[in-house]
Amino acid sequence: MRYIMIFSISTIVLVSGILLSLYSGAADITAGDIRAALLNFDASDNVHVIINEIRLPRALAAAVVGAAFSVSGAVMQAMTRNPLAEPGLLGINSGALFFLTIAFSFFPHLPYLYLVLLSFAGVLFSALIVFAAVYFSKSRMTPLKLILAGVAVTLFFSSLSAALQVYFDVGQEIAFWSAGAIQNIDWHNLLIITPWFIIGMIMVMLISSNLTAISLNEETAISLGIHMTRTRIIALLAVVISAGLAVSAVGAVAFVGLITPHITRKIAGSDYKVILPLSGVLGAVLVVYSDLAARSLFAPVEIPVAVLIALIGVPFFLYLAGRVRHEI
Amino acid sequence: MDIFEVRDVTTGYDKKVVIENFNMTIPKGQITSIVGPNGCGKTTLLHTLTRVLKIKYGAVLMDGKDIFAMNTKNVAKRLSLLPQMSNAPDGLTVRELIGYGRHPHKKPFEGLNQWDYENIDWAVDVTGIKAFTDRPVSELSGGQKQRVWLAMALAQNTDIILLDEPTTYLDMKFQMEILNLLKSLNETADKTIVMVLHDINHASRFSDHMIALKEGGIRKLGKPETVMTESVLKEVFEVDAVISECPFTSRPIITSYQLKG
Repeated sequence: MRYIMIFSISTIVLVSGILLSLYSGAADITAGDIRAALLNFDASDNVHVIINEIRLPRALAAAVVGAAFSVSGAVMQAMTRNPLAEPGLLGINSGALFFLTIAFSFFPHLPYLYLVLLSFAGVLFSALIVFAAVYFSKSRMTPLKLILAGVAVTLFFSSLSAALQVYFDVGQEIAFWSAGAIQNIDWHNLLIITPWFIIGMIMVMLISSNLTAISLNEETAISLGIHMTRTRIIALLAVVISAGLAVSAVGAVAFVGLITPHITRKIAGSDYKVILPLSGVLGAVLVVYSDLAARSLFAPVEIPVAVLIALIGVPFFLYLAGRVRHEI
Repeated sequence: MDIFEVRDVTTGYDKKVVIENFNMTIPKGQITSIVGPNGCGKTTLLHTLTRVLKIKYGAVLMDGKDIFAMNTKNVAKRLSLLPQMSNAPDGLTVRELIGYGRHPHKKPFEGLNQWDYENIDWAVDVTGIKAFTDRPVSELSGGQKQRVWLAMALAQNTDIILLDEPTTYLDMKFQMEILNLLKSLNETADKTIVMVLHDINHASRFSDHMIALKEGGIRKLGKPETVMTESVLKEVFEVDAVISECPFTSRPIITSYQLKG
């Protein structure tokens, strides 16, 4: 009952955020315009086009990537039993960056969708290396090993990217692309990303009770009859798909996967059947409102949403790190 | 009749082999204690029996069937484990934690039913934790936590219970209560109990069967009277022990000991 109320409130906050996003921006738009644009869309009306073709897909994209980062973070934290874990630990951000750098260095002027797909190829590539390193290490797979492999891959790809960016002088373009990626999302891209996000969410919901048991401790999970290998594979695949596509679409927005799962656990306890969907909604809320703030605070100048979230995220991370009692 | 058979098992952690070509059986419907010095492979052996630790060679059979080949959820309906002390996530209440013990009996997304609640209430009752079932586990004392995790293992309602040092963190009274509880579960509900015990006097008083391990191998096994001898204790624990009879149970107990002369 309490959870239903929390869900309803957060969903109302989310929908309000999306509506606010439609309302606020450079062009003057009234509530009536929004209603008209959503209900009787007129392609010849400029205001309708701005609402429907620019602001709505952007707000929805913010919601989808926010949910994807947040749920992926919650899954990573359950699996590693470490409240500081997040999807970036799998090396996927650096893989995406590396492939983007190659694209900008060798194939400039690729359309947005191609860049997204290339980034995602980078995500898959880096995740594959991390998993292979852990799989072929002969010894037991532990969360710590996964994190170490992820850190190594991240350093490797970041260094390669940095070198390429200096050599081909594309650093600024990439920074510019990453900072503004969320603006470039249109309906076409959104419709490509969203079904995969939904598949990822279904996958993690199917293993949600296993994740709860794993978050207790590994011995207990096994003696409760949890299939560890199967659960881990499904969880990692879901993280790579949903967080990977989010990174590819809007660049690495760090800390979402850290902040909202933590807040969610504070509100909703320790059952991942509740934590996963709620952290999805709250992650969407965080990114939608951050995006709104990022483009209204210093309008007409936009600050990158990732920068804004990092401003909240860094102190939050330090606060969390100070509170962690458990070993990795 | 044996419930477990460990056949030519070699296992360990990473490259370190802890037990090699190990053979052992555990009798059904009895209390078996595994004793031995630190690092002798007691916990490794318990983890092998519960499939927590995968084996490199050999086989572990439960009722004649390979435990690693069985459906893991079906194994969980027969066998529960109380691991060594572990932390629970912040905010998790005692009752919620114990509820997870019902997991093997549930389909995905199936809620707890009357039968589950009866098992949970029973586990709460026999472990004496009724007073704090609504409190977060992380706020409890070591002894209270230990009883809560035991209640979770009991709520699983399996016919085999394995325990890794169940009396750690408990004061003298609760140590006796837990061991008496295990004994009565064994006698009244015919549960097979296998535990790693640090205190070999407890092992002697409460077990039907003892296994003394050293350096990954069995040095002696059998009834407490067979294992609790001066020569076995000298070999396994490297101490000179004085053995006498427990006035309450007539089992052999150590009254004092010194380092091997």
